[in-house]
This record gives sequence, structure tokens and C-alpha cells, in this order.
Amino acid sequence: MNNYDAIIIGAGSVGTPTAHFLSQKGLKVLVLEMRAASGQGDNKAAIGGVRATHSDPGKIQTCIESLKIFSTWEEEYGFDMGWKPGGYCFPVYEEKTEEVLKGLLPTQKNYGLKIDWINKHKVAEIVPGINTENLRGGTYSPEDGQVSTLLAPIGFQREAQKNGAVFQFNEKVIKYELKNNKLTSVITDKKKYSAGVVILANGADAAEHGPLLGMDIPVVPDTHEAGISAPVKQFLAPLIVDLRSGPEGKTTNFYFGQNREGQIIFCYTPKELFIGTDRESQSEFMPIIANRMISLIPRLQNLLIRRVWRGCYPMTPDGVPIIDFAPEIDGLFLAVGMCGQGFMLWPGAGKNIASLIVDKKPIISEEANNFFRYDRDFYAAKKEALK
Amino acid sequence: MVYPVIRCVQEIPCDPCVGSCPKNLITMKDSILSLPEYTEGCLGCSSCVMLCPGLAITLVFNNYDPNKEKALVMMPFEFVNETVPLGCEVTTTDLEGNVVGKGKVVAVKTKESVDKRRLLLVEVPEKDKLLVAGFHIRDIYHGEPLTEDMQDEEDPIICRCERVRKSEIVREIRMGVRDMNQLKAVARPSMGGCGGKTCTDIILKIFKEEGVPMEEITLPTNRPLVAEIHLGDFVKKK
Ligand SMILES: Cc1cc2nc3c(=O)[nH]c(=O)nc-3n(C[C@H](O)[C@H](O)[C@H](O)COP(=O)(O)OP(=O)(O)OC[C@H]3O[C@@H](n4cnc5c(N)ncnc54)[C@H](O)[C@@H]3O)c2cc1C
Ligand code: SF4
Ligand code: SF4
Repeated sequence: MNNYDAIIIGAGSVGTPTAHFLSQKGLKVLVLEMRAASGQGDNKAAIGGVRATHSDPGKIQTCIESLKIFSTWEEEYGFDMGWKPGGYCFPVYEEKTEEVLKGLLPTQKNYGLKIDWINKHKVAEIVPGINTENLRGGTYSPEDGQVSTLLAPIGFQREAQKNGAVFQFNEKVIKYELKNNKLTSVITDKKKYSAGVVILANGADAAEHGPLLGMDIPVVPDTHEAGISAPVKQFLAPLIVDLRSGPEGKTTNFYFGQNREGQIIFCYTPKELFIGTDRESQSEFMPIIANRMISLIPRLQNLLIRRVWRGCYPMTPDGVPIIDFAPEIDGLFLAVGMCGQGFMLWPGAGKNIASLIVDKKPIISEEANNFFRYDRDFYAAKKEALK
Repeated sequence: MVYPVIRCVQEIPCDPCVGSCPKNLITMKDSILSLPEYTEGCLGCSSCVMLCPGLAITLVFNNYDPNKEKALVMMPFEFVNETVPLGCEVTTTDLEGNVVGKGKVVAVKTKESVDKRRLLLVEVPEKDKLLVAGFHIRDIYHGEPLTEDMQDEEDPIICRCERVRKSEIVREIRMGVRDMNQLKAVARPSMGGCGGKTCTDIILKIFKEEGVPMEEITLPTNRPLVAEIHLGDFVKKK
């Protein structure tokens, strides 16, 4: 009765597409979620940007897969995930950023990403109203896009359920049983279950399960704030990432876009990280981001601001997720440490691990797949150019 | 020649106009309930316009235009300073709010001891001078009547902000949605400006109609009452 082929812990950005792809391969899947529904953790804090515009092969390839899945989902399954094509644009004002971004283009193109440098006039065309003073041009990747983080997990869940996956909500995993380094059962506050493979996909809480499993899970959450406006007429097709540090000394970059409802959804990366899981909004967020947005596109001053929120980036030391079998525990798969990209990486990553688990081979290149391994050196000096 | 036009039509206990006039030109016959009456001799000091709490008095300046084509009407104005349409053409109205014609705001007068009220001098055609009692501060927008399908009694709109119908909510409940946060995510009730101030209770009733016991329902995030403000308002004005 309580025996499954696969148990997924956490029905978030990671857990729901994973449930879909595993159940699609015929596995009997159970999803355990402590909250009342899918996608109610940090998943819904994400603004829903999906880009294959990264600097490392693993992320590029995985996100190209994600984009295929998101952009064809409605056609395939009849459920609208709020997909809005329109690409990503990184407008550039500084010489050194231009160098970095141009330097990445060969790798990005090599791994199949459609991306190019565009001149200042083209940037001004696709980002109407952008401040053109000192604007040098930018990168534009027209096949990136955005998806509603509110809708996507529901779409994945419902499709998984059609394939027999079981979702248990309001049920928290509190303990594990191991025998000879084999994970034999998962214990919740209600029941005990067992499965051939257990996939840990519990987001910001991943590290807490390290001691329960007797291993180190190097995930430290820090929090990021975001906000959304009332809807306005569609005028902005791409998502915008401004890589400059803010003049206020508090931000390293910021990004925003217009969703399918017409709302502008925005977020910044703080210079000094807020480590922890405190999700209360802070009063400094709006003034800081308002300054940045208005100086980039002055007409945005007329937006009406509807809501703000704060959520977690479950960070690994090197900013790259862990998507791998746990080396020392048989039957445990780690899908944690999604950092700021958990939403866009899965479904591609979900499809990949379904293939890893069932067919024992990745769908992305071996080399790209190695990128996400648990046994890598998390503290190697190498830094990703584009986070 | 200057004189006040007193449009005081209700017999209410009010008489600041009487005391305001340095020449005692405004009087009341019997009591504070009587309507004010004006006797000739106005100085044009504008005290009565400044003090009438009912904004019922305008002053008409007749000698404004030697050609007698225009006259000047002084009107009280109590909106914020930024909205004073100084130098602008405005649509003038009579006491009932009917459009009279056009006027131009040529000057603004303030008085330090009177906190918010300003007196606007509006140039109007001579023939309008006795009629003009106010003006529009922006173009009138009458809105649009609800279309017929929006008044559908069978399938009413539950969330007005996002225009979510009952049938959409029922559909999701039948699909198994029990968390009202997820209901918001998938069908959008409560996602508008008000944050679910009205529809939350109605949705709970729909759950009940659908036979879902209260224990199975997770309530939505409770939000304070907020007003949406402009992004520009977060930025310090230079
Ligand atoms: C402001 C902001 C903007 C962002 N923008 C983007 C973006 O544009 N694109 C993008 O790709 N990413 C973005 N992200 C990052 C993204 O939100 C995360 O990387 C992603 O949601 C992490 O997915 P997850 O499945 O690991 O975690 P979650 O979605 O939080 O899922 C984990 C789930 O596990 C459950 N859980 C935890 N512990 C237990 C337990 N013991 N038992 C049962 N269940 C448990 C939780 O309740 C939760 O539902 C953004 C994040 C923030 C904060
Ligand atoms: S304007 Fe002055 S003088 Fe004229 S009626 Fe009013 S208060 Fe009296
Ligand atoms: S102050 Fe104004 S409202 Fe009051 S009695 Fe005089 S004219 Fe009428």
C-alpha cells in the first residue's frame, strides 16, 4: 500500500515536473508536501523568467529543454501555464559588461542557444522607453521567455496525477530509515512509506535533512524580494536584466518583465545577502527598486504597485544546483540547491533525471550533466560569469 | 463694479457670510436659518467667498474688460495645489453642474489664515458671468455600462477585480483544489488590488455549496487593506 517506485519530497519548482516525468515513464510516484498545495513554497516567489542565457553548458542545455517543454505545454496537454515568449534582453551601459557578455556568446551559441549582440537602436526598439544615454547595446536571446510560477506546478501536478501519481499535502517528512547505507523508508508526521528511489526536492529546507540522513547537504538559503504592479497594456516583450550595480550600494543587478496578465514583475539581487529564511518584506525594497527601474525606463514611474514579497534562493557554495544520486546512500537522489534558477531549470532537469533514474543515462550531454554532480569541489575558485 | 452672487438655497443654521462682510452688506432677515441677502456696495474684498463653508458665493468683476466681452468670476477651490489649473482653459458649470461654456483661470489668490481654500479668478464670456458657479477639474468620464454577459445571474462574477466567475471557481473546486492560495493561482480570484476583501467570503460559501467541509480548506494569505501607489511615489522628488 505504502510502497512506491519513487517518492518525491517537496511539490515545488523541482518536485512537480519531476513527478510528471517520472510518472510519464510509468513509475508509481508519491509526492509528499508539507504545505497545502503544489508550488506554495519558494516556487511562487519566483518571477517566472525562463532563460537558456547562462554561461555554463549544464544550465544552457537544461534550460533549452525547459523552454521546449514550457512553450509547447499548452499545445501538448491543454493546460495554460502562462507562457509568454519574448526573450531576454541584457541592456549594457558599461564597457566591461560588454566584454563579458560578448565573450560568452561563442559558448552559448555552441550549446545551441539563439543569442546575439544587438546595437543600441535595436535595444531601444525592443525595450520601448529605455534610457539611451550611454547605452552601448545589449544581448538578446529571442527564444527565452516567461511562465507563470503560479500555474506551472498545477499543470505538472495534474498531468502527473493522470499518470497515477499520488500527491499527499499537509504531510511533512520528519525522518528516514536507513539499512546498510540503503534508504529503506521515509517517515512523515502521518505515515511511513518506502520506495525504490527517494528524490529530495525540499528547496530551502534541504540542509535540515542532512543530519536526518547522516550526510552533508550544503544548501544555505538567502532571501530575495520581488514585487508586482497592477496590469498595464502590453508594451514590453522581453525580460530585462540590468547587470550594473546600483548607485545606492545595495544592489548588484535587477531584473523585471511584463507577464501575460500585463503586470510588471520585478526583483533585485542585494549586494549584501540576507542569509536565512525570514520571508517578511522590508521597507527599503520598493524605494531602491523604484529608483533603478525608473532610471532605466522613466515611464515606469506611472505603474501602480500592487504587492511585494520575499522568498528564498536555496544556495549552494558555488551557485550551481545539486542534481545527482547521493554517493553514500543507496536509493537517494538529491535535487536541491536550486539557487535563483530552480523554476527555469526544471522541467528540463526533471526530464533529465527521469531519464537518469529510469534509463540510466542523461538527456543532456554527459559533460553538462557532470556540472550538477554532488562530488564536485563546491569551493573551487571558478565563478560562473552569469548567475 | 463688483458684487457677490450668493447661491445659498437651503435654510440651514449658517451665517459666516454675515459676519465676514466689513461693510455689513450681507444680512439675514429673521434668524440664522434665513437665507442671506445682499445690499449694494461691495468692495470686492472677497472675505465672503473665502469664508462661506458651502462654497456658495462667487464674486463677479464687471470692469475687467473695457470692451465688455469678458467678465471675471472669483470661485473658491479646495483641491490640492497641484491641481490648480492656472493658465488653463476649463469647462464652466452652473449651480446644478450643467455645462455653461469655457473659461480661463487667470489668477489664484490665497490667504495665509485660511488653510486649504484658494480663490480662483476665471475669465468667462460676459453672458456667462451670473451663471458660472464652478468648473470641471478634469474631463468627465462616464464609464461604460456593464455588458450583458457581465450581468449574467446564472453565473455571476465573484471576484470583480479579476472578473472571475462562479463557474470557474466551481470547476477548480471539483478538480480538487482545497487551498485557497492555489485557487488564487489557478483561477485568479483575490489577485486584484483589493486582495480578496470581498470574494473570500463568497468563495467560502461556494466551497460549502459544493459540499467541501471547512476542515479541508486552507484559507488564503490574509492581507491588510492597501492602496496601490505609483512606482514614482517611492522615489524622492528632486
Ligand atoms: C524573488 C525571487 C525571484 C525568483 N525568480 C526566479 C526566476 O525568475 N526564475 C527561476 O528559475 N527561479 C527564480 N527564483 C528561484 C526559485 O524560486 C527557486 O530556485 C525554486 O523555487 C526552488 O525550487 P524548489 O523546488 O527547490 O523549492 P520550492 O519550490 O520551495 O519547493 C520545495 C517544497 O518542499 C516542501 N518541503 C520542504 N520540506 C519538506 C518536508 N520536510 N516534507 C515535505 N515537504 C517539504 C516545501 O513546502 C516546498 O513546497 C526566484 C526566487 C525568488 C525568491
Ligand atoms: S466681497 Fe467683501 S464687501 Fe463684497 S459682499 Fe463679500 S464680504 Fe462684503
Ligand atoms: S455662509 Fe454661505 S452657506 Fe452660510 S448662510 Fe452664508 S451664503 Fe449661505
